[in-house]
Amino acid sequence: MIGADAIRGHIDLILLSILEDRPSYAYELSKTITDGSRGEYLIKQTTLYTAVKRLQSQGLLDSYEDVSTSGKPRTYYKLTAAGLKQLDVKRAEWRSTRALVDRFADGKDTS
Amino acid sequence: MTVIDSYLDTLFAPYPDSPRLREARAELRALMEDQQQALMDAGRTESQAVGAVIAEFGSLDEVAAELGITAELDGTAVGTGPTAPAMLSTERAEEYVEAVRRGRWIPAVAIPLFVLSALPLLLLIAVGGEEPSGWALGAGLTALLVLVAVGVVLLVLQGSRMEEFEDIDKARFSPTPAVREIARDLRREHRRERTLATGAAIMLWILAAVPVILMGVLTDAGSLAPLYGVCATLAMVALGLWILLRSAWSDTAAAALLQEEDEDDLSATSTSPAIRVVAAVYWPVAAAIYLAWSFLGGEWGISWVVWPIAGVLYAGLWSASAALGSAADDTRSRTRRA
Repeated sequence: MIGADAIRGHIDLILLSILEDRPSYAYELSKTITDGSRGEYLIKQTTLYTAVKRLQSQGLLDSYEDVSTSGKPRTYYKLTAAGLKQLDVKRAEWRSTRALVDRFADGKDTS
Repeated sequence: MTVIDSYLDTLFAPYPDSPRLREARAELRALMEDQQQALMDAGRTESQAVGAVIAEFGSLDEVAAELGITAELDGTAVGTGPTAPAMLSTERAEEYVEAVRRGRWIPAVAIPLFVLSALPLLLLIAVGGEEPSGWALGAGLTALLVLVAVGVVLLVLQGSRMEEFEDIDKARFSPTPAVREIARDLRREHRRERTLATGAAIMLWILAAVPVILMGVLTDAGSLAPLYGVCATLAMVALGLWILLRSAWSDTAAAALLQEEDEDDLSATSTSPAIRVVAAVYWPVAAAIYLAWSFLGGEWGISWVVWPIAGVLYAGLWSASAALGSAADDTRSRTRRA
């Protein structure tokens, strides 16, 4: 199980990546994250909502009202142009972060 | 009310009510419902599903911080203005509704009294024919002043009755979800009554023009008979006001509890001191103008038009004063009393 602290800085990247494929609403986002983590991580509802609102206030997401597949009215979120650009930046940043952390963490195992 | 609703109510209770928070509550509720449904579809019982959803909720502080409302919660007020006003308890909200309900007849009687105040004078003049006698004038004017005085006393009485609820009338409180529920129930419960009353009042006001017009057209020039038409018109306007104001209390109380602004609420402005002065002075002045024109100009046959004009101006005045009344206060408070 991955702790909330370990993943905190990366929620934005995860959300932006999911929304790159298609617009989505809160529950679908949470389900996608839970399913994608294969049970390793369970996102709290408030953590998800806070992250979405933060991205929205930064202009990276847009929201609109629509009806979900279950027929209920839901607030959908989609990437803005700025959000798409930010996703590229975050991806690049994540790659170099991962590479850096790997260089230290993997050292003893792989040498 | 589902378990999730009560859970969210409890969590949101310490926070002041705001559109952003309401939106957050609605969206979190939808998220929780979807999760509960998914768990139940996967074979969990309802209580298991609800339990799991609540366990995964997290902390509302996190959301509040993102929405910029932590300051309001702990009262330290960083850049969000003064400390949030006190919460309104359910008991006090119910007391308030009860007080408004018990006093509902006061504006409903007082305001029509102003409109009716000139009636005895006009009837006495009309019955007397040509030049009214000193006796008729004296009795009519006395009746006018007495009726106005009774109306003003009633409004002052209402003002002091509602004084202990000034914080509610001036919107200096934070409504809890329970209080909002009371207000919405009150409105729902009395909706039919209000709709019927509004319809009846509007019909009366439209038809109120008929007596004046008919009497004006049908009677000979120079006759005093149009005054009967004026009397019937004033009586219909007053009756309409009575019907409307008698049923307005539930909406007035609900609007105060929900902190809504609505500017053309007659009963809400009826107790502001400025309105009392205007109401007290208006019809006596109209009577003075009417008598001066009639006596000095000797135009008894035409001077009655003062009354229909005064009636229309009176209606305009109410709307204007209602607008002024709410503009004079700051945005969150109102001169609301019923």
